[in-house]
Amino acid sequence: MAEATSGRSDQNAEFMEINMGPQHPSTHGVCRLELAVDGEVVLSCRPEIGYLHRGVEKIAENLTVIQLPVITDRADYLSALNTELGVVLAAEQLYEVAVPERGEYIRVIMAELNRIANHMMFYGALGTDAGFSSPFIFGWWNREIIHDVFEEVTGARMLHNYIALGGVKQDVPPNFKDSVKKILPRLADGLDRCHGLLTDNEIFVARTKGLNPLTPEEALRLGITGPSLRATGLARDLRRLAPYSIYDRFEFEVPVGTVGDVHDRYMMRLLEMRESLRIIEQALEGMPDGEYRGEIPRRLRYPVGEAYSRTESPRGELGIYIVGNGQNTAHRVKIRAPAFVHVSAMEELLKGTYIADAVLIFASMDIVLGEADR
Amino acid sequence: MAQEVAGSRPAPTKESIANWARATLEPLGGTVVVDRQFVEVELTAEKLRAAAHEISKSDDPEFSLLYDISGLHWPDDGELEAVYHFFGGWHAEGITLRVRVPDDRPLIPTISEDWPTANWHEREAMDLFLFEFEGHPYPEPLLLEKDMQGALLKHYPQREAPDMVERFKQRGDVPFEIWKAVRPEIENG
Amino acid sequence: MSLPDVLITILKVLVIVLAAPLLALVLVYVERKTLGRIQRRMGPWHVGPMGLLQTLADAVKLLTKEVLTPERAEPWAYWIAPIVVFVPGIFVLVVIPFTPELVVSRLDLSLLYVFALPAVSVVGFIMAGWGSGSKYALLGGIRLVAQAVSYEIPLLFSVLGVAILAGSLSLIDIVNAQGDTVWYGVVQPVAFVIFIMAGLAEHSRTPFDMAVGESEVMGGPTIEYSGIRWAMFMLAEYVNIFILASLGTIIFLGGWHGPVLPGWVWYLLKTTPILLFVFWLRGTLPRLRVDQLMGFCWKVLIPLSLLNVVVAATFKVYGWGPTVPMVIASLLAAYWFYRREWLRVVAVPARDPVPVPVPAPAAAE
Repeated sequence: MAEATSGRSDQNAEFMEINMGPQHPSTHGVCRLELAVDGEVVLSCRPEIGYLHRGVEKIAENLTVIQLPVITDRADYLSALNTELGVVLAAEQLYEVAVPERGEYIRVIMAELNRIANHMMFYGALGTDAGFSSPFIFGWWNREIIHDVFEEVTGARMLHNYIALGGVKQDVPPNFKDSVKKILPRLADGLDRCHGLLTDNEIFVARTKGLNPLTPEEALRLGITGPSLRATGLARDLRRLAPYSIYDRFEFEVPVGTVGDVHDRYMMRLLEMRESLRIIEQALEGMPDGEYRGEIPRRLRYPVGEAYSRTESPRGELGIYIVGNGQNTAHRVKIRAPAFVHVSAMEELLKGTYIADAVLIFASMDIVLGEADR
Repeated sequence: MAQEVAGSRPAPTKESIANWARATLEPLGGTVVVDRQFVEVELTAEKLRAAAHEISKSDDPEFSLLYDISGLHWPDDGELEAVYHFFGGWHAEGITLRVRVPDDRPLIPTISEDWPTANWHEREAMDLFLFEFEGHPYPEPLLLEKDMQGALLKHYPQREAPDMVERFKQRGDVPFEIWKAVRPEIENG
Repeated sequence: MSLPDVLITILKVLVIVLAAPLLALVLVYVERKTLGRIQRRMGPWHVGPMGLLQTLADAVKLLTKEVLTPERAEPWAYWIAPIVVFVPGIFVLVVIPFTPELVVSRLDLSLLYVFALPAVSVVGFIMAGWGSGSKYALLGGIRLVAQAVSYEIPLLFSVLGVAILAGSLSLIDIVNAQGDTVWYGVVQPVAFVIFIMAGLAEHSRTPFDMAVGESEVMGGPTIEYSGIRWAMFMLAEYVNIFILASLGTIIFLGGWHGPVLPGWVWYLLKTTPILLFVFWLRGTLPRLRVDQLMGFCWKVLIPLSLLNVVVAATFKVYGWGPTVPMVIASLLAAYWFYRREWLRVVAVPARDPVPVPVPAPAAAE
């Protein structure tokens, strides 16, 4: 595990090379961080990925547009519905397919539930990295509630393959509104418990406040987007800035941080969960009856052309680029994964921090290696 | 937590970006195309670096995010295309650069000096399409093994394209070809 | 001593040697159940009624595991380290007075003895860390030794105040002195708090478990151990926690003194809350970083415990107290402790949010 060597850098300081990974005891996935360490301080960091590369984009070139969400689910497996939404939006741009109202509302509800589930996972992972086992259980309690709803609606707890071209694959079960209405107060209560456990915890605050502060310019230069960018003070949320689907109909606030440190990034996600609950409430009220899937052409050849869709995935800004050339299968499907860019930012972010802090910073960027590697 | 504040700076529109592109990037040798999703500029490889520099230091319209660098392989034309998507940090519009190079010598200058995030995107493009980015600080494989690079090319695996085998041998690598020796039944289908 | 006395003593020691691992197993079960309940889950419940046989099953599993020796291990150090870590616990259990009769050995210097011996187990951790031949184990071992050695100081000074007040270094005398007057935990509350904290840090328990933190050094000096050897480390940890709670009871909570019920019942009633408190901390606190941990020891606990000793000695010399003046002095010290900024929180100036242009609302369709 620790194949470490010692050496002397040219500044004549003695350093030791440590590998963190590829397997992490904290649940981020297989990413290797080569650290050059002087005692406790990280001198340099070189992240290496590719351990989870499964050729998603290559496989996508052999799939029809109906099969496409199946493989893109596997890329970012924690926020599968959001990735599906991004892919399907790009496909709908290309095919010029209209989505009925009910389909849009169902999509939004599922995507926001997925956002909450994802942030609960983030919460658990961050707590575990701080040396604290309880947040993981607290976070997973809430995830289980959401997974039950997902299973009712899509048939699967994760990797749903539900959001499809033109709407959703099948209608929601008749008791959908009631089930979701029932879980909203439970999720709100769970969220309060999560706050109570970690947010004001003196030791957690001492570990995370003031750790790795960023300015918006630095963050943008490193390509950081999503909640980590909003923590720095820039109120950039694609659901507000370039609204897709029907997000412009909902009233929700975009939480913004002040310092951009690890504590702020953590708070962003907790506050976002509250806003997601608001969106789900509004969507439930406004959801009309009707068709859940629009008219899709009978012969599903990709039109010649390109489409780029940008969505606000829970991790950051997800870009899906589909190039079609008249065949049954796409010519190119490119997934711009936020985690990919965030892992590359680790090189800069981890310089000069303690090893224990490096773990926390890595956790605070909410990285899923499935997305980074594809 | 402070809430978002209504914008005080007017956001650029597609037309204003197109005008800026015509003013700044066309003199560098690019062709501005407006009838696609974002403003696109088609360039040759030599002009890419200057154009990327212009985009990075432009203040109005401002572009802070290099979203991605996608490779596209057009085997009928024998060309590889690199598509660069730039978006603004403070607004939602973007600009796209496209570069076409021949697919047996895909040399493109790197833009990782102006755009630090290009570092990994270019490494990924090198892995998937065998691009060669000149001046890249660390051109090591990122996602794939060295003998499996070029995975997204349309005539992958390399054993079916003899010129690919040649290219690998020139690099001093043995391509995926090695599997043919180990498992002959793969070759025979 | 005549032969029967020697034989009885040997028998008593054997009872302790056999009871210690069983005690550790019980404690492991209690901890896992407590943690489970804190985390809204069941804890072990499948193996045996209410999961009572879980730790037995774990012990059997550990005994049957393959015992590996890493290639680059230093054979002697690697082999002996678990023993050196485990045995001092037994030595200490021998002198702890559960009741005036239930004690194996009555030493006059038992207070000194119970704090001198665990220092030996620290050497065992060095042997484990270095002898494992792995850089991560070495890192963990170094951290653990620095932590244990540093926290010995406030641990000793906190009980030194009690020893001064009681006028003796014998644990039995200390308990008897509390029987006449009031518990030393009331008279010296700050010392009690320091004792518990320093004890937790000595044994690398949360929140001071940086040396064995799973996220970074993956278990510290014990990562290269498997099977029965790792079981010895784990048993040693829980025996030490029990010793910590026992000493807390004896020194600060009056040991076996109490009305109506027999001595050993009171002893258990006083030890259990301390044990549950230790497990509770594990379920509700994250881990301190190394520099915060060491800063806390050297900048807060050591000055405070020194102050405590000075105050206790002053009161003893002048014949004041013990109760009211000591309580006042302790409360003042506690106030100082509470108000001092001991966790270094970096102050970064907050920025105003950056305005982002919001697109005009979509025209009605």
